[in-house]
Amino acid sequence: MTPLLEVEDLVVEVRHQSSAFRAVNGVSFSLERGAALAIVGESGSGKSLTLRAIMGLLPNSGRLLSGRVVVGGVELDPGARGYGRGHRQRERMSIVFQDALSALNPVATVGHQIAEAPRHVLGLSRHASRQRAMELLRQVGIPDPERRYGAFPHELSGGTRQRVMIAIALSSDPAILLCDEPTTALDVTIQTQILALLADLRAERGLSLVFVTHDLGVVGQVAEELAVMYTGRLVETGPTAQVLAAPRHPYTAGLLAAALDVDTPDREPLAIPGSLPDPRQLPSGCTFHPRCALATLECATTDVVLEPVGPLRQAACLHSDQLALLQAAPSRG
Amino acid sequence: MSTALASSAGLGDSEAPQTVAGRPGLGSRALHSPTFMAGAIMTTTIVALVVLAPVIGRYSPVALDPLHPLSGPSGLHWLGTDELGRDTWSRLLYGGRTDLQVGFLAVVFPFCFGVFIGTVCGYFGGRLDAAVMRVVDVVLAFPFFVLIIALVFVVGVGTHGIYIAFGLTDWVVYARTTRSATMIARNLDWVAAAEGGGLSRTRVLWRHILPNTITQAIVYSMSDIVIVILAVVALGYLGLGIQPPAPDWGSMITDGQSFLQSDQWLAILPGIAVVFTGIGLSLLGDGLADVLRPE
Repeated sequence: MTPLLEVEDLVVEVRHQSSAFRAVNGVSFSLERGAALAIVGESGSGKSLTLRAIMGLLPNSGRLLSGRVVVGGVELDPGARGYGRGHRQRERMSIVFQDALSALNPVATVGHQIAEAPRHVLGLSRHASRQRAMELLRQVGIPDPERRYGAFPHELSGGTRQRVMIAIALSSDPAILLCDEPTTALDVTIQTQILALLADLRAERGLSLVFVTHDLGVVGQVAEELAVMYTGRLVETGPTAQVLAAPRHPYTAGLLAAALDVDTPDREPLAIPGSLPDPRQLPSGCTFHPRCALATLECATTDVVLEPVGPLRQAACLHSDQLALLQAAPSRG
Repeated sequence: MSTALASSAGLGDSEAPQTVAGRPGLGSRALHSPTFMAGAIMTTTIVALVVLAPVIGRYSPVALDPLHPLSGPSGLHWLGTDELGRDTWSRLLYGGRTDLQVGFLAVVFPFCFGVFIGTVCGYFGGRLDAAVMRVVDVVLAFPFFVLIIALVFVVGVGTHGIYIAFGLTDWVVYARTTRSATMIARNLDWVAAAEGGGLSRTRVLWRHILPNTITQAIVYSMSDIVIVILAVVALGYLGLGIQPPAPDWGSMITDGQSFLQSDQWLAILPGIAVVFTGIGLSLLGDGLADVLRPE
């Protein structure tokens, strides 16, 4: 069976004043129907741009240099924007943004914004699209949809707005939902509710999910597949549980060490030394080598690519075997 | 608001989707904006007066009263008469009628055309945008009044000359403001969300972006009416505007100029009318900016 979503060799160039750099550099992945993939990385690693490039919604400063996006066996037109990209295929994609307030039209009621796609994309009647919008509001857990229908975005709380955003994304009946840090701007309690909602929607609708976040804590809850991104490249991919339990790339290990863990409260979080490199002057070879404890001379000269490191796993590191050995050794705690 | 809070407080849902104390509605915001209310009252007064001119004018603005030329205010002529014995009160009302009408009408085409061009250019960019913006630069490079006077001189004096001159030049201001607002809007998340949601570009453009960008143009159009009225008055003063015997504030000021020594009110009264209208519309524009600003 062919995967529902295939992304191949995505390269996005970003122009900033006179300089240009590749913010996304050769990202490839695929997603089965009903599966969920989480893409994790620091701010500026290119994860949000990857999603926007897939949707055909790059900002003016971004340009798609190469890359194929195939949805349900149909290749999308890389030059077209938004709607024009996907209007031929049956399997649609939708995107949910991080900040629901700026992602909702401030001068239109939420009901109108939800009913718009059913009316103008799916071609339902006015009455049917209104019914559809009510149903969606109920589905995303907003009580009393009749009253909420006429509300403006600024009248709603943050969590409700994010639910509305998800309802809008679902309104065109997509097969794939791309989530760009949908819970980052929310309280932890509301974050949990939104994650639970996404899990419910997956179960009910067979929705496939691509979930971008910088929070390693949430990936286990939403996605069984994990991809770790650094300076525009994927550095490690694999089943979430395996990657989190035994990372095979030092960057993933560093991210895990930097996170607080409630199970071992005595362990101090360790910051990754150094900072994210300037994207215009990336280090040679493996771009992580200046910050890496395992780096050797070879790391600065060899271009690393994703290599299989297990039955389902890939990592872009020359020393991933060494990392595995370190993890096998008993830690001194 | 209180009912909204009461009903959501009763929900069992742990995340009660409480209504954040939102802004009051458009009407209430308008009532609480002193600027808007002052502007609205002044503008309404002027409009009411000029609309009711046939009822409260008492005389025809062109009727001569040769027995009472240059008479001061009296029971017969409330604001006196000019050198031909025409009633100043009546001429003031009918003059305002002409000037306001020309002011509003001259702004309609530049507003529509400018907003359209600005929206298209700002959203699609590219060569069309570059070409149109060069035209805009050229028009803006000339001093505005000089350009208007030159154009009226070429296409002919009178109201149609004013309409053509403003139609040719005034749209650039709307095009430029709308273009920059649209360029900002097209990179916002909610525009991307609408595009990504599968809506057509025309729909995104006219139903999502335009309602957000048009407020600037609406606010500017209020000041623009003032500019047009001032231009009409200036043109009337130069003899290029509304042609006699039709009454108009500009020509009233010109005609009254000869009598500044003896009968000052002939020039001063239409001058006050221009200033009052200008302040009223400007306040209305400022007030609208406050009231219409999206959250």
